[in-house]
Amino acid sequence: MEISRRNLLKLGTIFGAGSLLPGCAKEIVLKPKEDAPPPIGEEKFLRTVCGMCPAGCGIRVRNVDGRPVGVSGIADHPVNQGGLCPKGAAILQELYHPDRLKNPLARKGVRGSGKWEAVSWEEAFKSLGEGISKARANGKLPLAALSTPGTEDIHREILWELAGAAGKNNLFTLRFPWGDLADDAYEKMHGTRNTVWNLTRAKLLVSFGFDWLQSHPSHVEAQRVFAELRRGRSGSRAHIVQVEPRFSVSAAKADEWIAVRPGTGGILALAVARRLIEEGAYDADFVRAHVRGFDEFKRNIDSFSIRRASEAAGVPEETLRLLCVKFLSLKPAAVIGNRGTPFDQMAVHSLNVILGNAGPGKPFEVGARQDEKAEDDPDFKELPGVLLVDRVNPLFTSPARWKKILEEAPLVATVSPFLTETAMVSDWVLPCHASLEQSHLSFHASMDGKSILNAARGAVAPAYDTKHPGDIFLGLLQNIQKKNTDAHAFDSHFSSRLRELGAEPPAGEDSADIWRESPLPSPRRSVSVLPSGKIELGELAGLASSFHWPADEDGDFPNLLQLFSPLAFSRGEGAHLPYLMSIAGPQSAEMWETWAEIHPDTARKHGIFDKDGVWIESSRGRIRAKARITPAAVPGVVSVPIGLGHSAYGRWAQGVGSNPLEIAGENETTRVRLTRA
Amino acid sequence: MTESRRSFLEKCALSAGAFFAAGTGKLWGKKEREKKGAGAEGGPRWGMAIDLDKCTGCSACVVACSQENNQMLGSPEEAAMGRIIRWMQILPIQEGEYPSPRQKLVPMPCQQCEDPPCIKVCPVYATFLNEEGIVGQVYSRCIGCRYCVNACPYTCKFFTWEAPQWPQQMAQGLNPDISVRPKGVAEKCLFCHHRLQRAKEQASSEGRPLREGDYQTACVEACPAKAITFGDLHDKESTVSRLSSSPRAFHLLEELGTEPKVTYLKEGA
Repeated sequence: MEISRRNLLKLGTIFGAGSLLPGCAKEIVLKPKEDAPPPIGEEKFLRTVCGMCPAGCGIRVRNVDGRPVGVSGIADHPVNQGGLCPKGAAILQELYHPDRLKNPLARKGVRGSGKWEAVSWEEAFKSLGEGISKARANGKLPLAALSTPGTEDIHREILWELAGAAGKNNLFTLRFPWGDLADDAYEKMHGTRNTVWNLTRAKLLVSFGFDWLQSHPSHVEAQRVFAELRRGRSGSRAHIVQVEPRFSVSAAKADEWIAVRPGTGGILALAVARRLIEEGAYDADFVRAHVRGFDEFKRNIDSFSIRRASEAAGVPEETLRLLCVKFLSLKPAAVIGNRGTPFDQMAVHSLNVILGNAGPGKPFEVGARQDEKAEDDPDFKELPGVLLVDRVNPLFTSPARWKKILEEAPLVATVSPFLTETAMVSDWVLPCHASLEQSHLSFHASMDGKSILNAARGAVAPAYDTKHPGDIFLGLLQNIQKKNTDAHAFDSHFSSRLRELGAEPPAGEDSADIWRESPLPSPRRSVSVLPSGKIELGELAGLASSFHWPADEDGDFPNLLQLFSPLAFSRGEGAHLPYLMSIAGPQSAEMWETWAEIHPDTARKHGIFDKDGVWIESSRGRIRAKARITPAAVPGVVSVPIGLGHSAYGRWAQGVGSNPLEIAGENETTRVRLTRA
Repeated sequence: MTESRRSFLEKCALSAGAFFAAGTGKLWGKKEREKKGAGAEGGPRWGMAIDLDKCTGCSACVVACSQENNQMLGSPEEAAMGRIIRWMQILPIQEGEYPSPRQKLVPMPCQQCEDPPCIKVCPVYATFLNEEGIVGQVYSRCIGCRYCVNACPYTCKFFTWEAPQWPQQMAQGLNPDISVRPKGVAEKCLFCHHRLQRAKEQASSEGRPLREGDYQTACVEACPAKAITFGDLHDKESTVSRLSSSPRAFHLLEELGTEPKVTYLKEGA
């Protein structure tokens, strides 16, 4: 084109106009067009039960081309009512975890060396069967099985059968004090652990030391109950009090946080009980009708004055008096605690007893189901021929007690989808399916007291040579009964059990219900299943009379250690999943590392600054953590989360953080000192 | 055709003027529409209400969002550098000290501003406000300048410092509706926009309009305390509209005039 005056003007005008295009025209031209979402393959929704914890939530799994790619809650399921907890939401990471065990393993080399040989299931069953017969021939306890408390499902039934076939009194459970309810107190005072806490009935909820929003065994229900206590009933809003040595999530969400020294929950509860009795502010009619040992209790708690308790716990007397007034004016109350020392558990629960909070229609009810006859935390005066560990990790959650047992037990077999610390020191590792691959047939009690039967097939076919835990126990059972191993025995057992329970057909498709109200009746009419038919306060009275008040400061170890169990790592499980690692500490945005919450005054004494590395040392040893200086911490108390510090358990858990259970005493307050690392 | 210089210039000026007038008119119309609540055209305006009185900070929403939107796995190193991306996160706000501290745990998705500061600074139109009020992000256009990441007063825009890695098995669980972001782009919560598209597809295949509840984000669906509500703010009957005008309602950094479409309901009776 010739560059004439005319052409220059022409081009100039066109470009000029173009550059002057107003914003909206630019927007029309430049605004991205929203494409339709990419085409996907065959989409299907399946219903099953979440197996990430024993709560029994109903979940809906989105399968695309046969692969689960999403998960949500089932809206009408009585346990979760459509919600999920973070663990349930992370269930796909468990399914697709690259470090899942793919076949049975036999130890090669010395125990704990980490050398394994892949073997067949037949070999594993044969060898374990031989171990059991050998121990039996030598007159030893042939088999001991260790499992989680409070689950009632098809694999537990078969484990019972297996344990029964191999001997007597050989089923044990592993306690997790931070995440269990005060079951020992309920058993001692009401004769059963099978209880129902209908917290939404309470106008006043007081938790002694139990960070229930993070550590309650049924995560989804705990969050829902909180929402209901807050805004569920029109015009009525429950008052929530948290008595705890740490400013936990439950404390932050409560109306009042009463900050106390660790290990003083029981003392405070008894001081409040004494005061309420003195003032005549207890439910005298209820106590007369339903309680045994009240007079002795009243006599023996005489030394638990508000003043003395206030000094021991570091709480102003006024605060405790105000708490008594709350108990007086807000009825009914619910007083909850976790599974600390038997004294603490019973002392806390005694408040429910004297206030008459137990019984039909009240916050605390006695359930109708039978307790299972499993003993907790065995001492094993005589070691069993075969120790069968069923999806628990005692070497991580209770290392002091279990290290020696696991070293000395002649034969240890661990059932787990991952190579946990306990699996690492086992002779046989029996890999079970991931939660989504498992069929489920289990009984649950929802927090509002409904008995529920869940029955569902797995959402996806097993990816590896793994088995359903029930199938593993059945294989072992067949072996010791010298029956021919039948590959389909578990399937037919599952189907016949479904028929017996009237739960057929086993649901799975999106339209079907995977749950039904269990044929078992709802809570009992009585308040106790003890032979006397009454709530027993005698044992607590005995403990109160011989109570040793906490000693003064120890110069070598000036601080107290407070452990807590974040929801992400409930029961010490969860650090193997990266999405759970990232939500470990919602209150301080801490993740992927063990942190220690310290008050600024305490930190200053030890020359520690925020985010410094610190050593926390007790008489048992020391661990490293990242200091988080927070003015919300109780001075002199160091709070550390449980769940990190794995030496095994897959690539994301291994070697990250520290395990404070290695330096903590069981059922006692641990004293520590801090040094800058 | 012969044309005088004068007439040519006149025509040019006229057409440019007309273009301007049309554009200004359109702009003016848009502003007017916004003033009136933009409901005139009848399209939905998606919004969220988060009840802090019910929320317990359990983080189920965080994990559900991560799973739904193919978010990076994370590692101790990335955590130490503050580079773990979570479109939904729990923001702890603490005040006071022992023995009577207070703390709020605030779930923070993108606030989906009606006047988003991130859009104004984007030099390449990679981030935009769509017809239904969702602040979108086009990864293929983003040049990774991070202006928007800095402009967002809520720190809800993130930069992918590295291309996220998934072990082969883990990659099987990726949501096929959502693309995996490459290295060097900004990303953000899109109110699970892909779910809206799927819901629209479904509704049109059934020959019906979109109904309340057809489109829910992953965080809303997961919340065990039912603390999060989602829906059309233009529909005055919707739960989210009702909650957004509750006396407890407030917005984060309201004074900035960003007009967020995420409303919080304060704690207390």
